[in-house]
Amino acid sequence: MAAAGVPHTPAFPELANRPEGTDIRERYAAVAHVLDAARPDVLCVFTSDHINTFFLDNWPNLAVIAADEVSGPLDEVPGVARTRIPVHADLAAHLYETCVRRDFDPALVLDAAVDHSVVVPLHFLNANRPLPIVPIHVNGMIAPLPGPRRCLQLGAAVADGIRTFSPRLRVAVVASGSFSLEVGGPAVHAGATYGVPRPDWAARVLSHLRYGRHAALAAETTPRLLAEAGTVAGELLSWLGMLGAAEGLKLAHLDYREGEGHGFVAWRE
Amino acid sequence: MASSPGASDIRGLRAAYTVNRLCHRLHRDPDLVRRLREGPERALADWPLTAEDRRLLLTGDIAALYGRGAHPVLLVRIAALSLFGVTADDYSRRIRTAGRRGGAPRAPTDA
Repeated sequence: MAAAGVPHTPAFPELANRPEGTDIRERYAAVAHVLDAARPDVLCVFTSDHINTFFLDNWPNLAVIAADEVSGPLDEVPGVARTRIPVHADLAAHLYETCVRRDFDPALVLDAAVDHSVVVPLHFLNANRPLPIVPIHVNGMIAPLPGPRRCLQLGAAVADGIRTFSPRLRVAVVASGSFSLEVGGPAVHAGATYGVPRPDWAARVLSHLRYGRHAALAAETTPRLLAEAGTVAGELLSWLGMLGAAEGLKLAHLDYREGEGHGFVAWRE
Repeated sequence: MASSPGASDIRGLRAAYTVNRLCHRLHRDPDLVRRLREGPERALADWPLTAEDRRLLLTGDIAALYGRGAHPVLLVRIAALSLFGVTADDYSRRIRTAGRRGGAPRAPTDA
């Protein structure tokens, strides 16, 4: 019924509280406006854990968090205190069951703390009238990553689960992350611990989103391209999950500035 | 065609498992961070690191730790917390000298 994708840069919440943060505040607010207008009951949040919730002792390629609540952020998000976020546990369990029935095999998670990849989008999109969430993790950090077409199909399975849940709920789907972003790897900018190695790829992703070419986007998302686009460029896969769940919605808002590795996008019925 | 984005580096992640584990603990264990600030050598004493990993951590050799298999999203937490004397600026300078694992190109030489 509505969908959105935004960046989850940990510095943005604090920036948005300062006078010079008007711009970033407004960019998120434009997306929040589309979601709010759809009057959702629940936000289904596609996310890529940054090796915080999960570790290499048991790394899930996909996971559905079906606890009663999660706490977060468990990492550093300046200006955002750690809090408890309610989860719609019954819907989450149904989405998990639907995914397994449709030949996806996510990890089932009944106890979790989440990081900035969940907390930052909610800080901006779920502030006015906090809604319960369903977090769905799509591995964007540790290769081999799930296939891009498979992520679209995962989203379709999630949409099927949303449709078949009783009682009928209004569920908006949200993704977060960047399309080109190097965190901590050799392609960082001089003097920084991050970089945007392939802004041209981010521009290409946004162009596909503008014209609804989701299958073409999935087809172009190759291993080599993601490796070049940065150490967390796999966050695009959580967007593909969201896009699969949002199939049939219309583009309502798209905000991309040349040179950036991310975008602010929203869809409505 | 199989579609699996990103160069797989499981061998590296395994080789540097304890370094990766240490970096993962930093967000969950403020006491560990405090002890690493007060006396890094002593704080690492209980960790089953190889002698080489221990030396690379204590000397802040970021490029070598990355080369051995430390995941960049984990390794960068050393800079975020300024551990082992590594500032964000040091981290940036050092990681940019590393070749990317998996063969993708490294940063353009813009500085």
